[in-house]
Amino acid sequence: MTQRSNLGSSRLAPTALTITTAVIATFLVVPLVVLVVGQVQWSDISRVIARAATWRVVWFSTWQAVLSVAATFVIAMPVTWLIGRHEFRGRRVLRAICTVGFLLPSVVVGAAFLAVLPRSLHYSVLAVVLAHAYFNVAVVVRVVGARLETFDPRLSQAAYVLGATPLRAITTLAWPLSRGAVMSASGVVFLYCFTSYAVVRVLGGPTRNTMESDIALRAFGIGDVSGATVLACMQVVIIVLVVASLQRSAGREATHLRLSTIRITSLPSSKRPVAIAVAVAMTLFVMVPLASVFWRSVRVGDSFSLAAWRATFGRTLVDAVAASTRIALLTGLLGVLLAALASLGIVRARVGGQVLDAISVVPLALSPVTLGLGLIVTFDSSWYDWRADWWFVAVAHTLVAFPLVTRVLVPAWRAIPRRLSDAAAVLGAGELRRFVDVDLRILHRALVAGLGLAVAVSLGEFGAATLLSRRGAETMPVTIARLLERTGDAVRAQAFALSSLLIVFCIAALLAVESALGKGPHAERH
Amino acid sequence: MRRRRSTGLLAVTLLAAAVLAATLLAAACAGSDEEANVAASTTLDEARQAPVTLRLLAHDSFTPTEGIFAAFTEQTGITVEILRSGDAGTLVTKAVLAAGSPEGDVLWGLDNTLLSRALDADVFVPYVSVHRGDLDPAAVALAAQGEVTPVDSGDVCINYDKAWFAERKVTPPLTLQALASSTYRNLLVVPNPVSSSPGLAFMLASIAEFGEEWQQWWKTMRDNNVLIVESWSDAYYGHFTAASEGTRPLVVSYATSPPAEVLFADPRPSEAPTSVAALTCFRQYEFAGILRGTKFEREARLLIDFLVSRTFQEDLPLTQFVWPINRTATVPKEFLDYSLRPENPLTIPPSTIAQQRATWLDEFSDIMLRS
Repeated sequence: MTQRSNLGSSRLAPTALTITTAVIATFLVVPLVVLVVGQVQWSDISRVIARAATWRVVWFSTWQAVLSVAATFVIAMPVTWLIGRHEFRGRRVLRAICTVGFLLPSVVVGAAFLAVLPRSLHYSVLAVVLAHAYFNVAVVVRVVGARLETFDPRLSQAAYVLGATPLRAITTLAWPLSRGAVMSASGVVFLYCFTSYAVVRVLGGPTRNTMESDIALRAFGIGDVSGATVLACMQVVIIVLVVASLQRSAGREATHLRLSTIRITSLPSSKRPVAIAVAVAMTLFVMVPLASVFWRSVRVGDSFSLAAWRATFGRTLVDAVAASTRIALLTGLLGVLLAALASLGIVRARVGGQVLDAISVVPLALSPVTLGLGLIVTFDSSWYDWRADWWFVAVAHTLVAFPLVTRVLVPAWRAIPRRLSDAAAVLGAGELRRFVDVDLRILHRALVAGLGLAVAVSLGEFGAATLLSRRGAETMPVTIARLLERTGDAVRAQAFALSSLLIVFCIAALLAVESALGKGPHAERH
Repeated sequence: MRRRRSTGLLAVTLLAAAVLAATLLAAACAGSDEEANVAASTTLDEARQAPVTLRLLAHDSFTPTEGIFAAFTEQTGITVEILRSGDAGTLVTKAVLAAGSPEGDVLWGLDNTLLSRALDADVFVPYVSVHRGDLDPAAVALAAQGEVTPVDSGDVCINYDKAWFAERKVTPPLTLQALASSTYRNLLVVPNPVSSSPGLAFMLASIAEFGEEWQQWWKTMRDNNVLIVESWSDAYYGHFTAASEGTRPLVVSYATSPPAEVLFADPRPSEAPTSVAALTCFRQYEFAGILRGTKFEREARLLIDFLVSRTFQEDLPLTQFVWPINRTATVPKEFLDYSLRPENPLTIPPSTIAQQRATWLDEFSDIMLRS
């Protein structure tokens, strides 16, 4: 501890902490406060709390989220193990496939699931849980997988040499090492499912509401912004409590564990059949709904038609692609930057790191709907009336994405052996030099993974994007949702054509990120 | 070699990061810095000298022919920028939140089920259009002070699958009362009134029809196994036999859905596969208004005039499947051919809707939406 504080005392960390806090305060806390102060009447607080419907909604949000987390892990663990521990041909492709679901706008996935699932399962909890798993497999693969990659296989080899059974190797090595990442991923998946909106509305039917969908219904359907804001605040409190307890149970894991950087082994031929089975099952799980989207894009009525695809290359739709790309790239940049600063603060700052750790989850807890409403009432006049500026959507997306990116960076950062930085300090490297040459170099992979996630969140995000007015072009998910609401087979086929394009687009972007990773300076690290 | 290149890359990344951080920090600090207003007022002055661009806020279903505002720009020198955001409910909620410092200058797409919410919040500046005399008086009367101007109308009705009923030799239901009969058990799908504008209109239709008895009617409908789904598109494209693999030949939709079925189909059928039960219709009017707080009130008035002028009104039927509100506008023949215009639609005064809507929706939810 004393040694740490001597060498690790950091001037960068407090700066990072300050910047992150300022950004969160400006674009998150202030809008929420403005919304609460301006809209909520005191009497509404007791009215909302006293209403039986409120607690039904809280209860439903909770148990369906717990169920969804379990389902996500059951479905994701085999493929995470495969990807996280082994090198094989097509590994990157498989990882990209796992991530695709996460990128898709929930309206599209909802429609795809309705098309694929048998009718008896429409409007069921099972449909909701499956769709949640579909989205969130990516979170487990990315967060837990990234952690598995940093295992030193020599540890388990040593364990086996010393006579450990596979079970014992898992309980004494794999689990303690991955526990933090598992908890982290569970937390994120829980939050996403707890605050799920479109999936619950499309697949759960009108009788099932999460807090999030109830907030939207109150605010827009009934026009009770005050009641909706009270609900939103309750949601923040509940989620912060849940995350705090998760964090407590995760403990201060792994900071002292010796991990080498990236060392995965090639797939032994004995495991090949299992690997193929896992890869095929996963690919089917992801691809079948996607295929149905494509199928619907070429079907108009009962016949085949490419009319929708021809229309896709018209101006409105090309504009949507351009707008999505622009916003997603800016989100990626801002998201990674903000998350890197936040992680630096969380990992290195002696004071305030833990507080920031808790605060960094708040954007996840705050519904995009509430965030959107808050931004609208706050940035509403004179020079800071940014409501119709295109980049404002990216700012909202950054807030939505950055907690997730932070969850990727923090464990990776914590896993960096302190000795390296200390050694550099002893050798005379300054703070900035250590940060650049030690931390950033090791974090490179996690940063690129985080960039991918931020871009992904932005590409698929619908709630905040639809709420902020669009000047000129709108993003692809918004265009898709708008087309889906219109009459006529031909128009709907266009929505599905655009969805197919979004899918292709996402896969391409993912592959690009994956191959950039492969060619990076750390690929041949020894 | 490799090492040097990667350090360079990292340095560049870091530099970019630092610049961005500085920008963000500046933006963050600026949030609380009132003095920066100097720069802002200059931009405002510049904006005033430049040709005016009006921002027209609209819901997602606002889809006029591209370039239709070119005529307006030619006449007045004013350009129009459309800002769409969400459905009509979202639009109103946002307008109410931003009352006084609006996101745009003119708002399109408030309907009579939502109108009072905006009027109570004093969202609009009154203006009486020069075309007022040509507009449907029933619609004009709903905003008698000229707070908003009616722009179009449409009806929400029971639609049915003609082939389904013909094959089974069953008569389609003609009234709401008939729907409660066991003949139509398991046949109707309705979008949720809490989240869907046609759903709300249909609930209001039942209240207009049955008065105090409306809840009783819904209880009968519940026992008759009516299906409530989240949105209009879920109902129409998820369950309606004429438009999906679904099993429900009756759906709540628009009176203009049959022409849309014909005109958007490829190839076009000779007659619509669906039809409308005229006695079940609830009339919706849409309004446009000048947002209080706009800097361009004079220009906004010209835009309101343009929106109810014949040029714009005649574009509405085939792009948005609504009827023009301007009685001098010509409705395209192909639209007339397949459309039904109910003569005595059900309706409820906006002020009554405003007072009761939240209560009605809660009562509806208690009957129909308890799992």
